[in-house]
Amino acid sequence: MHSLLPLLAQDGGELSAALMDNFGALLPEMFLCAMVVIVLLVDLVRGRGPSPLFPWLTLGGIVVAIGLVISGSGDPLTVGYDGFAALQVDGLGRLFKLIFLITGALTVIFIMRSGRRYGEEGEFQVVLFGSLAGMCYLASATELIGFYVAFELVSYTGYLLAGYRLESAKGAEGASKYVIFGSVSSAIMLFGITLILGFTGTTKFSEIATALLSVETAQPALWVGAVFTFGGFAYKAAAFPFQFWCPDVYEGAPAPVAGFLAVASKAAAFSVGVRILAYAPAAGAAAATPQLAQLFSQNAAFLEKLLIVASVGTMTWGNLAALRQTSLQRMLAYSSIAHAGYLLMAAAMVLRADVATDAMTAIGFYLLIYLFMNLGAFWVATLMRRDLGTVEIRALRGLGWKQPVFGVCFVIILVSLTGLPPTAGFVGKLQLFAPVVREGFYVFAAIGLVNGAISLYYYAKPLREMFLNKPDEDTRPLRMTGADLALIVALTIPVLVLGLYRWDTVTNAVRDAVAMVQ
Amino acid sequence: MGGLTLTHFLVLGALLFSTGVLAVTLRRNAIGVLIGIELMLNACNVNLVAFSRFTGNIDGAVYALFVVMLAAAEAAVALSIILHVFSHAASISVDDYTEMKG
Repeated sequence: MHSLLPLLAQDGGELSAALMDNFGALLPEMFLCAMVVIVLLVDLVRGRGPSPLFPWLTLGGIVVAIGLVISGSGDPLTVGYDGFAALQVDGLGRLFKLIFLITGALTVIFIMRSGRRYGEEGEFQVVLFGSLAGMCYLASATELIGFYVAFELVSYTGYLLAGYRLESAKGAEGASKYVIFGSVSSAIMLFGITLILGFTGTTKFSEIATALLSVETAQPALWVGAVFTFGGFAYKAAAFPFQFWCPDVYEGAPAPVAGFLAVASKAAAFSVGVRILAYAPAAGAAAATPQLAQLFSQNAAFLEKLLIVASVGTMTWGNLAALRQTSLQRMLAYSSIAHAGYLLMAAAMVLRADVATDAMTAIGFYLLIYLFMNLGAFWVATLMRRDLGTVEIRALRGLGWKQPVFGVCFVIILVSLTGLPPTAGFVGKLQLFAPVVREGFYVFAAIGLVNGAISLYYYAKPLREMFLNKPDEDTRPLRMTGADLALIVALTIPVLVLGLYRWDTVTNAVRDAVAMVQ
Repeated sequence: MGGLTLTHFLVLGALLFSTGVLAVTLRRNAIGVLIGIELMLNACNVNLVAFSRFTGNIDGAVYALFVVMLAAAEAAVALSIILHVFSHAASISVDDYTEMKG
């Protein structure tokens, strides 16, 4: 049994040599942590409060971090000490880190152009860097302690971002609900973790997967632990039945921050969830006796049912509730819940050995596309808040005729969110459905399709307002500069290009990345 | 340890956790809710330390140290946000947080 404290047993002089294997692979995370301190110090030393310097400093920092992630070695590296592996830096982690960092960079740009000053405060950037560092660590974590610390880092910074510079009672209400429900759910998750840790005697995901999936039904404590832990994830990913906080938080927070939470925070939950699930097929294949294999497949089937129920509940609830919304930002909040449901559909299939790689590829590819299309939609909400003072969908009336380039881009983004061709959203959704159909879950797939049809109704609302209504005297145009327009065009291009061609190149790259797990 | 077994400590942990859940659900005061959350976290600590003591695996005790640290950070974050809300709503009763439907 590896103890977590081998360092104490060693002579002080040899510590540095034995401290960590492959410490260098952690460079992106270390750099992000260093940026937390750097920004804090710059703010302190300047002592003159907000400055446009800070968003630029952040952007520069994120670009460097992206460079560090990309330049990292291609082979999977195990980071830890004395044989105890705390992290695995591999393709899956690298893919998710890029998703987090790109989302972070776009969020900073959105805030800079949102016409509000909170992005110019050093503290805000400190919190953002903390959040990114936690997410990046989470994407590589392979044992429970590091996972828990990183998970809570992402949570706390999320509360702070949502509650930063509240200008309205709504924002205050959203942030307080987020922090209270969030703390309760992570306490429940922690209780589950303590049971798992106690009864399996290990903190490693891979060993836990083996132990958990060969438990006899007569030992329920472990299953209670697993269900509680699952609840904590479901909260973070805004999955049924823990999705209720999401609309209030996303509506109350500033639009760019809501976009960041909807994409990066959700992707963070999936990054570690997928990694844990991915250990299951290997653990099943390694079952020593037929009885154990039998037991294993029973337990895996139970977990699969849990995920399927969560998936169906999440997407159906999200889509049905989105139908009634008149505010674009609140509608996007419900739509992000629905998208978590689609992703859970593929997550359930990661448990099946023959489609595991396909399902993981689909999740990676979809999150990559979701980044562009969802942030595109939140960029529109940011612009509306800045120029129209409202995010009500009816304020878009006739805008498509007045600002055709903006209108067409937004329509492409909406079509992609619905999952219709010729956009990347269609390709992504097809990949999410493929493993489900191949494994014979026809009813499950049909529910997903019906949900797609429902979502068409509410995604078409802004489209109807923009193009089917002529501008009237109430129509105010968005005061878009060249940069604002360039940003929405830049977010639309990947959505369109990956829908028309080139999706196979990206899919193959994602597949190569996720195949490294295990 | 006399007649005390692991089960005694796990039952204590479960009771403490349930008390925390009750406080969270029944308390109308945001500070009371936070205290309930602290109880839940400390129930986890009882579990962790008990497992560590009875199985001889030090991981649990190390984990508990991290939990103590994170609980402090969490209380700081939650209190700062509730203070912020107080300046807007002039109330710390969770019943008053009802402007949105959710």
